[in-house]
Amino acid sequence: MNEHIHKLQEELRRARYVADQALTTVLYLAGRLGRPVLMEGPAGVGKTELAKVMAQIRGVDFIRLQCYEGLDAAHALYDWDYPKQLLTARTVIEGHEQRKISTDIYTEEYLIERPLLKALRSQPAPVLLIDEVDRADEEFEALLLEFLAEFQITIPEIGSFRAQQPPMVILTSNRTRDLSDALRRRCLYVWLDYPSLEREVEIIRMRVPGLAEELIRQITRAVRQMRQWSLLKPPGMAESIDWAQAIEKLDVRELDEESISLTLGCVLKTQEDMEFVYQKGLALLWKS
Amino acid sequence: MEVLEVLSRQIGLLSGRIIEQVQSFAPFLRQYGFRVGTPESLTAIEALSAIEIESMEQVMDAMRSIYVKNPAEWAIFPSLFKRHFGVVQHEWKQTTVLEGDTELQQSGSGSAETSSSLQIEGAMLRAYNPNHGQRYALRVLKEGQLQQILYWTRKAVLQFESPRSRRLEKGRRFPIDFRRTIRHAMKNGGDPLVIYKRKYRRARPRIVIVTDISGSMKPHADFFTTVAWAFLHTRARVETFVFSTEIKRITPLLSRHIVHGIPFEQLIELKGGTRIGFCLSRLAHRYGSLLRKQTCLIIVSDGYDTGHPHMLKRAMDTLSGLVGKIVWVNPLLGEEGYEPVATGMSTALPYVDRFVDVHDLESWIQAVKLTLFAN
Repeated sequence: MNEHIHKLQEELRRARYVADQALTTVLYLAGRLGRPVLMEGPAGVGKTELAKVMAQIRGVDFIRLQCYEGLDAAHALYDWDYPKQLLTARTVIEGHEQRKISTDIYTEEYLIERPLLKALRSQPAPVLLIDEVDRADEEFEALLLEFLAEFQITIPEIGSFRAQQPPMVILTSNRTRDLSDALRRRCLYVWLDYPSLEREVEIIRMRVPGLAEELIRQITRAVRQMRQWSLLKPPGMAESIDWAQAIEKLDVRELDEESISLTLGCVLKTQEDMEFVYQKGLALLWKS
Repeated sequence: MEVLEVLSRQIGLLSGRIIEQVQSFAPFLRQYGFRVGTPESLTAIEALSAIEIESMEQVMDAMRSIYVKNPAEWAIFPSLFKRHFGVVQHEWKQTTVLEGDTELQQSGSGSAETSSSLQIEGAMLRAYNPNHGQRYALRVLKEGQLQQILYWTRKAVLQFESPRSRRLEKGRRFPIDFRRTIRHAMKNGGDPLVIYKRKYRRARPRIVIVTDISGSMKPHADFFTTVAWAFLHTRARVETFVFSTEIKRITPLLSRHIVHGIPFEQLIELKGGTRIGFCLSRLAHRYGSLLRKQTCLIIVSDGYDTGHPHMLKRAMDTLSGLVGKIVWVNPLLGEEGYEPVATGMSTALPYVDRFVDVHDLESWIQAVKLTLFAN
């Protein structure tokens, strides 16, 4: 394995994130090639967490832009401080100052940085997470293109801002709609699936060190069993860790019907799924 | 291609053979529906100079992140990579020689096992012919019909409920548009004499179309694929699926191939039978995030189900709780003497908000005129 990739994998592990070689290679290339990373995969497999961990191991700021329908330039890129502009304009007019208001109030003094602009101007270059980009409108994707390709934002009144040092950009998507080809082509792509049994055991062991090995394996097997049951909200890695933590806090020695019944809310998030699992029988979980 | 060669040679110490292999990889992937070209090849060459190319596993990981754009491609990429490069450990060697090393691939690993492996890969490659795929989607429909379907589909979309967007547009009695107000105030010495306001826009309707393409629906498959294509070209957020024994999301295929249809090999996993309950259940669980209260789910099927009725009942129960409206389009409904008494149809009917007969252009126009998709 490339020495740098191996080093990055070790650093991720020290930050309590278990990444396989494929994922580490993409993260390494993202840094080397200066490309954004587009991560898709089921909810709760650690997409958002990875961005946080990358910021942690690089020792830089973590900036997050949560996407939603209706997200626009004023919330993602920049906005003007309108009350301040208005006050300035009135002061100038009433004080008869000799200033050209129309240009003076469109300076950096009146500029409000939103996450994307902040990511460009921060030094050292931060890690920028554009979370759940599929929730935003197609128009917002178009807005991102200049940013992702050039690491540049153009403000009509001032000019273009280009990052001195490009930030590391991680985009995540849960595939509620198809993203445009233009956006995909600008990114390195990763499909982050549920981890294998051994990797999931390793992750839980790392996150909940006080839990007995046999209990960790039981929890992992039970969660994997539930993922095969076509639940409305299949449990992700986050739910596995929550469940393991709950088992540890309750000082459970062995998984049985009672302990599962008490803690099932950590794993299942809808009433329909609860009913379904009870119908199947909890014994299937603790004996799995 | 010349540009590619020049640039790639500037990037690093890659051999001519490697560059050649990477160059031919994009056209090879395009045969399998990947939308890749020279930019991806350039990025791949740049990436190769940043990693250890002796490790084919690492090369595969790097190339996968560059060439792949969706989960389906992610899944098949390793086998395509293996086919193209005939993966053998240490097949590639980093070298300063730029040309005349075309024998590099054969050298250094000439064991009997290796050569037989390459022969197998070669045989697999020859066995594949992308032109053999059956194309049945929109090819048979005439140009005039296509235009008419598009016209009436656009009219149909106007009937669907449009949820309120969080985007704003101009209008009275709504929040102040500060940006515009301030800009205008500058003309009046800073006095905001005109207050501009904005209101929330109506968002595009969310529509999910699920079409049965089992054997019994084959006579109608072209027409409904055309309708699905037309929906994708309207002002609506549309997702399209086809199903028989499995369900498959075809939105990217339809928007990409437009009127040429969908190649058979893209639907290879869908067999001849019908498992409506299973497929709808898959839809609810795998694509649950597409199904919201504002979503209208259109199921196009004759209701002949070979699966267990309980499964269909359970799936319909789940779907009716997730989406705002379910419209079931049955092409047999207009036939004389037809009664929806088939087990699948009678199980699903209690959960259906609208039961509509559409089987050709005329019936589609009729359904739109009768505003069958309105609340």
